[in-house]
Order: sequence, then C-alpha cells, then structure tokens
Amino acid sequence: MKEKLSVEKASNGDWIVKAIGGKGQVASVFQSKPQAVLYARENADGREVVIHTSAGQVIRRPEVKTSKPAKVMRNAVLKAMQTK
Amino acid sequence: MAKPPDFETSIFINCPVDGNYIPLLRSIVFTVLACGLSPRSALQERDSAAVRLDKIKKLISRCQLGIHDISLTTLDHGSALPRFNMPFELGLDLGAREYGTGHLKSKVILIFDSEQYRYQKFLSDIAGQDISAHHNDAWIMMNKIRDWLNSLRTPQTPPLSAPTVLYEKFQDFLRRLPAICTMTGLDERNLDFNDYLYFATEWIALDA
Repeated sequence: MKEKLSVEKASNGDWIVKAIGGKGQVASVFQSKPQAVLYARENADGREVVIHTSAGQVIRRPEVKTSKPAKVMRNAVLKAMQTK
Repeated sequence: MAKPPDFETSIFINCPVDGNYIPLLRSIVFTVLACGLSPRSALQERDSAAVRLDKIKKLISRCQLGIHDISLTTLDHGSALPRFNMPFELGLDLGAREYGTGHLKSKVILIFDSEQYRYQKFLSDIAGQDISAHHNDAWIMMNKIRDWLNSLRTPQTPPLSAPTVLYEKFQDFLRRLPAICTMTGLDERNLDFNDYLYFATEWIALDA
C-alpha cells in the first residue's frame, strides 16, 4: 500500500498528521486544523494527503476545472479563514 | 458495466440552477461535502460539445446516491413554458435503479419538493416514493440531507456531524465567500458551480 499522510482529529481536540500505509508511524500534533493541513501539504513529498472532518469522515475533493489556478483559490480561502 | 471506484461516495445532484435557487444549491453542495461525499452535477462538465443527455446518463451511472429537487414548477420568464429537466432526470435515475443491473440496483434516491404533498398535483406517478419538503429553507434542506446520509452509513463508520454544527460552518463560510471571491477576482453573485465547489471543499478541508 502506498504511503499517505492523514490529517485527523485526536480525542483531546488536537489535530494530528500521520503517515499511514508505510513503515513509519510518526505523528505531528497541531492545535488547529489549518495548521495541520498546511503542514501535511508542505510535507507531502508526492504522497496523497487524506483530510478528515472533525467527525471522522474523509473529505473527497471533486476534480473540477476552476476559473483561477488552484493555488490562488486555496490562498484566498486560507486568508479569509485567518481573518475570521 | 463495471462499478466505478468512487460509486458509493458520489451523489448526483439534480436541482434548479436559477438565481432564486442558488442558496439551496449551495447548501446541498456544502452538506454533501461536509458529510464526506462527492457531489456530482452536469454543471461540472464544461465540455459543451458533449451531448447533455449523455453527460447526465454518465453521471447517473457513476453515482450510487441521488438528490433530486422537483420544486421548480413555475414558468420560465423568457418562454413562459415550464421546465421539465428535473422530473426527467429523476425518472432516468429511478429507471437506472429499476432496469439497471449489478451495482445500479443499489442506487438510493432522496426527492425534495417545496411542500409535502404538492407533487401529487403535477407528478402523481411518483406517489409511493418518500418525498421530503424543504420549504425553500436551507436549514431544513441541510438537516434532511444530513439525516438521510447518516441513516445510510455503515455501522463501522462514525456518525456525521450534528446538523447545527454543519449549519454554523455553512453560515460561517457564506459570510466569508464574498471576500474569497473578491480576493480571486470572481463575482460572488455569478459564481461558477465549479469555483463554488472548489471553495467549499477547501473551506471544509480547513475548518470542518
């Protein structure tokens, strides 16, 4: 099984990023979900990032053709979230 | 026909797409995504050369679940004629389950109208199906979709987020959507379905 990075909510409310399906089981812990997701994406190194909801469901990312580059759209969402 | 790999997690969305319905459409898409499923709509396909009916048939065959809203019964402003696309696509989906083979037999469908028994006056042939009323209210719509999806999950999977949690997150997202559109140079009032889908997915990935 190809190794993936999984972003999951821990029972104490933290968010953890851990490698699944590979040899290592090293997990990194974050206090917020955006921090965990960004860390996972930055450290994916070609691995698929599987993001869970706080209730435990895997978030599916539909393949869509957007009007603007994905990076631009992602950054806008992140900025809007940070100014909440 | 072989079962597509994402058959169980794909939901065919068949609903009006005009201006008045946009808030409900957005609530459907957000709920489906936040429940860990993938909304599929003919609006996602930008290949104008493809025959629309072929696109619809392909989508229906690739989705185990379907949400159909037959509430749009008013006459079109331009032509003064009713639009029959939604009931037609509902019929295709019901037909796929009825006459299809293999995995198509497992299709599950949720039908909405604006009022509980109104459909009996314009589509009485579907009597016997379970029709939900959304009363043109996003909160009611989200509640019913969430409860429906929660009832379909297997015992091994965790319960879905509570409706109030989903609705708060949706409202939070809607409050920030104009700013997101401004930052990307897009018009929130005329936001393309795919762009909305992308923004909602990303918001849920970071927040839900």
